[in-house]
Amino acid sequence: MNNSLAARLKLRIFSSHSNTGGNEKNRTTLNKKKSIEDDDDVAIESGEEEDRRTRLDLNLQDIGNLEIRDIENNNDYDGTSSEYSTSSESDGSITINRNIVNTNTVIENKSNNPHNNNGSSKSESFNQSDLRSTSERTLDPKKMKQTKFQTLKKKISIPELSLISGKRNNNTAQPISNTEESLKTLKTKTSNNILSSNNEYKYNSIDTRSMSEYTSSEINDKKILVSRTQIKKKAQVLPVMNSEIDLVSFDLKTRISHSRKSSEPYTSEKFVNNSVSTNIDLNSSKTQLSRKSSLTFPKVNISNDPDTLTIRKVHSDSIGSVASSVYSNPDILTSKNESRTLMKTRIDNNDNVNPKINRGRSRTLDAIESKKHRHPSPFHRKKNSSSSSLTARLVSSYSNKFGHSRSTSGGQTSTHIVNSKTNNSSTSSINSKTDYTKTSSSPRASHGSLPRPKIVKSNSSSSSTSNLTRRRSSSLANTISSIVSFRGFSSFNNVKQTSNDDPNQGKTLSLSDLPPVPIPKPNETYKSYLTKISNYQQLIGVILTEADDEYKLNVLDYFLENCFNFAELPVDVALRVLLMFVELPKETQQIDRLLQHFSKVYYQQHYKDSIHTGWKSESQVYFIVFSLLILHTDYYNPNNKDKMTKHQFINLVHEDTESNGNIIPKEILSYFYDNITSQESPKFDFSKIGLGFDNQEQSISSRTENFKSNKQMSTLELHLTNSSPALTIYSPKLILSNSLLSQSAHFPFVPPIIGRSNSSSLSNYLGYSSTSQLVNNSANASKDDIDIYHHIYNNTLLDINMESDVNKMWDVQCINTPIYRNNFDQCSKYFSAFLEFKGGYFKIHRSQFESIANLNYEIINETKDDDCLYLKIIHLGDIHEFSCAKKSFLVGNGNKIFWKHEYAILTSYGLLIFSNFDWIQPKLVVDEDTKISNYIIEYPQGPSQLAEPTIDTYGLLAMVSMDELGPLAFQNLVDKQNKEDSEENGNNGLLLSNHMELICKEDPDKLLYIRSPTKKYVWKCQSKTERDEWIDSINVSATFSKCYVKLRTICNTVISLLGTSVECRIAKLIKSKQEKIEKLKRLELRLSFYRHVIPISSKTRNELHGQLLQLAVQLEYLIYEIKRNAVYIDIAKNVNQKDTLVSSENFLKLNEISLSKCPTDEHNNVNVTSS
Amino acid sequence: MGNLFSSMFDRLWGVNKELRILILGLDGAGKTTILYRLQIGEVVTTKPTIGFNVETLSYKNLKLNVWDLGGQTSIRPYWRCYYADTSAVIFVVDSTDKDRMATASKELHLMLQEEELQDAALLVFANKQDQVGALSASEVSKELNLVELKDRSWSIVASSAIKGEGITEGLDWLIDVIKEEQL
Repeated sequence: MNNSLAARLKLRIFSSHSNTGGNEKNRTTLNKKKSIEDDDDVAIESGEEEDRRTRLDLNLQDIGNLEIRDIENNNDYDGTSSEYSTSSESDGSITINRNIVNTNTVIENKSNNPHNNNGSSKSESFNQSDLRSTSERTLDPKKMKQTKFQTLKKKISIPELSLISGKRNNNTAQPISNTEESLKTLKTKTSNNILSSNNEYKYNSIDTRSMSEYTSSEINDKKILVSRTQIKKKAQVLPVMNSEIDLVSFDLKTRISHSRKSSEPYTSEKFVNNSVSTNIDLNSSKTQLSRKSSLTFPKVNISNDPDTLTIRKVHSDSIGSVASSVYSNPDILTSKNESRTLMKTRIDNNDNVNPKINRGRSRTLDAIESKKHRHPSPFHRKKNSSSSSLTARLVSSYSNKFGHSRSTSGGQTSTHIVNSKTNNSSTSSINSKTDYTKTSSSPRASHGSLPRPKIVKSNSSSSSTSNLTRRRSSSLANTISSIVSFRGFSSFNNVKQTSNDDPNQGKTLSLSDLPPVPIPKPNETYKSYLTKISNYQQLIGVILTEADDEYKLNVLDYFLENCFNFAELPVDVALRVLLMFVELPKETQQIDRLLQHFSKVYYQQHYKDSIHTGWKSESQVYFIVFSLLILHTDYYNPNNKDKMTKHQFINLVHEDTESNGNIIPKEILSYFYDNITSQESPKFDFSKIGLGFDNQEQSISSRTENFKSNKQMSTLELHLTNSSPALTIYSPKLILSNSLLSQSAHFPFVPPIIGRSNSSSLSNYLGYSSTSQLVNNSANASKDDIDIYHHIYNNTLLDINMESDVNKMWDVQCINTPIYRNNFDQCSKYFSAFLEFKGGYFKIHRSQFESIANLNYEIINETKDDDCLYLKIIHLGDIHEFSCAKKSFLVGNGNKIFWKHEYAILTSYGLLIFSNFDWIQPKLVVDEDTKISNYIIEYPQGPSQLAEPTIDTYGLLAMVSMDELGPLAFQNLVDKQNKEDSEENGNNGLLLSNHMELICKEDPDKLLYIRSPTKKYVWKCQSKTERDEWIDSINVSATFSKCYVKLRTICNTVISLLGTSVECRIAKLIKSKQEKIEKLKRLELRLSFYRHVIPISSKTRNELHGQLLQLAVQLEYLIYEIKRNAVYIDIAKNVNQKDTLVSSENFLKLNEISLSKCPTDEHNNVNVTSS
Repeated sequence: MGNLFSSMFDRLWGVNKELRILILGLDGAGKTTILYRLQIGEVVTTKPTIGFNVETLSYKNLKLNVWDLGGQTSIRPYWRCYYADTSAVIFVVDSTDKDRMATASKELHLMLQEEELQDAALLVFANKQDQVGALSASEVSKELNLVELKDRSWSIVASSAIKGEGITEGLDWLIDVIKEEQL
């Protein structure tokens, strides 16, 4: 099959040789076309340049002739076609597409027949020239200004080519019939001149694979050589030459990788040679043509040009042959796809396309299609890769050919090439956009349905190039861009269906494509070096971590410290910001260096903020950062099939003890997991922020384009808003703080697309962010989710963290705010109530006592003959308790909040609160034994008057401020009482605000807050004095509750069960307080992690909120315990206890209580010890 | 018959199971290059993901999931999860870097002590053979003290990642060992 195809091609070429009749005519046509371009050029050129150009053109005239002849020969072979007529009437972009189809086909054809090198090269060159001239027609006159510089450069580059072509002039003298021969020679010569392609040929015969590497390296060497020679004479030319050769070498590399993959002995060098030679030829021909051409307006009607028609024919032919040889060479499959789509576009766009041509084309397409269907998928991969390489080659040869395309191809894949090649003026970019859309909407043009994001991506890439490419005059690049991005586009499609296109894709951003990185001078400051390398923008990270170089790593530290602000960001978001602005190096050790230094800086920035940091050490941060990156890789890299689960992730980190991974709360690890997995870190393009190489001298501007165009592949493009302060350093901090980025211009709202990972996210529109498609997390994506990148470049990250939530629930200063200092005189007074025999007693019948006795108790000096028991009163009075009652169901949901008038009696047994207090009538009764008169309040028989069960004084803490125990302490008062209710009705918030309102209305001096281990009370007293009395009495009785105090009471006095001595209790309180403080610190550390978290998904946010609430409750309890202990210790130490404290032994003697009845341990103090 | 036979084997060997392979080695040894060189078989995906280099490749009916994790010691604890499932370790050595051969050796042996890696096969690429002054595979083997490795299948292959030499041979060996020992 191959052979026959080759034969056919040869035949075609030979026949074209014999048929030279139409030369003259064709030449004129070409000239005409050329004139279009010239017209543009002249319009924007100064006279001086014009002269120069003409002079150069003269030099190149002869070569140009030769080239044209070749072209013509080819053209003549095939008959006539009227296709071009339609093209001339349609807009430029359509024409471009047509040309693209042509070239593609031809080149692919060539690739099928590597042995028929010469013939195919001819046809290639022919097409290219045609392509160039026609596409240049599309240049918008409006853009001339912008492209002026470009044109200028183009012109300058010409002398270089003439130099080369001068040698070839000899060859051109040969007879026409020997065109093939002369071309060959020419090629060789050219190669010698530039690339020493003799070697390539030699290698070629030996081993394609390895030799191609040599070739590429050789080219690189040569490149330097060439550039050095040029540099002396014409500095401006240097970038041009460099870029061209870069391109070739690049192309070679691509070839290598592809040939390796497809394990097919490709003669890539030959292709390069071809492209180089054609390049020169074309240039010369172009110049020659332009010299001859008259200055006519661009809109020359070339509709009837026989040569163009022929081109079409040739192409359809070649497509046909390609299709027929599909089996023999899988590469063709791609070409088929591509050309089919492209052709389809053309058809769609041209209403007045010649029907005949259309038919023919459709036939071809059909043939291809059928072939495709029959063809099994295993070859698809090869197909893709090789075709992309073909495209790459094609493009590179284009750019070579049109010497002014100074952009080197950074693109290793078609997509990249697109970008690098795009000479889009804005008009053209619009055109190409239209094309994409049309293509994709055309059912036949695409393989199945094209996902919209892809289109968006193509569009953005082409539009993004518009700015940087404005300076270029040649709109040929439009063509190329459209073809190539189209190619990239379709290859993306293929990826989905089958497998892969280019493994190198996405690896384009490499330093090798850029000007050499400046080497730091000795003693250069970090800042100055950083300024120097700021043009590399995102590659700074790569530069600085390239080697284990102390200086560079210091610069990296400087960069991270001064150009970022991680201080208030959670580490995962900080990492996102880092990855947004700094390209991750490729090698793992380099990644590691970057992460290590990032962790260091992150930790330092957080360490300063000691209250808020939860981080223990640099290595801990690093450990987490590394885990996060692993997780990111694990989750989003489609190559990894076994995804880590959240559980695995958490356990993995939590099991670590070396790096303190274990002290990071699991909840936070869960948040990390959620955040990382809710949105992929996309690649960003910051080429518009005014750094890059734009501001550099002209001499490297060609590289700028290379550099920038390489970056086009990156997806999210952020534009500078307005004129901004000049950035001298690539400082994301400045960029963000000055709001230099705004996405609005380029990312209009697009309705969420089903199947995308996070529909609300801006980064969805990035082509590259879609790798997460494997992991379908769209199910739980909610529209409440945060678009983190939106906040990053609006610099509003701090507004969406959970700090306000944390502050609402917790006040770090809480522990330090002093609690109400008890009046110790008062305290002593109340304490003496314990000690004095004389006082008030609460008399209660035994049977009744049983009903209210919910606590353990002892009866002192029990005498069985009395039916009544006595509770020694320490304090009493009426109060208003804050309470909440359920409204009747008839009225509806909701609770009534009110102050309930009650009577409280603090006794030796506990705090009794009565809702009804009419019966309280103290009587003076003289004790029979001691003859001391006491006030006795007799509790009436009958139903219990208690408002609530007896409150144990043990652990009670009375306070004057509700904030003593943290902001939440008395806020959930209502919740607790009506927990079920509020959960049911969801009126928690309402209640909360109501109750706060109610409390706040009152005079704070009359309010008393009591916290028991289980409950909270808010009391309103009659006066401040009364309130203070209550506080003192409650705290004192709580302090000495269950302690062996020398009680003097009447017989049958009930006290709560005794447990410990005062000294013992104080010691315990102190110890417990220390423990609680430690625990509090741990909890606060945990809380501090919550402070800065920025949960992306609303689900995570809710989870965190719940956790936070729990944490706050724990913290509140701890604070209560700590403060309570502090108060108790204070009272115990300050109350006048002289002679009142007795050892337990004495106490036992005094009270004649057997030891067995008084356990020494605190097993009854359930509430306090349990947390 | 042949089809039946191979499909039987497929089932026996759990073709669908992905084998996790780690590529380790000092920086500059050529890990990344080798990783991409390994894509001799069918490459499954392309789109770059920010993060570490991970590649999946099908080779001789096996799906390999290759992670380039460098060789840092600091995050070693974290690797455990990756160690646990690891079928093989590919250790890449820069054969020209005689100065750091000892470091490489230390790293390698330290890593192989991990419990989770006890069953993993070890393939050492004595890389950069294309360069002048490169130690031969046997010399590298000596430098790395590979003979000291007990109870482990290991092999050292001279390679040139740039040229693509030796990679296939190494991988062939590895696959054979994995098939023998682990499937």
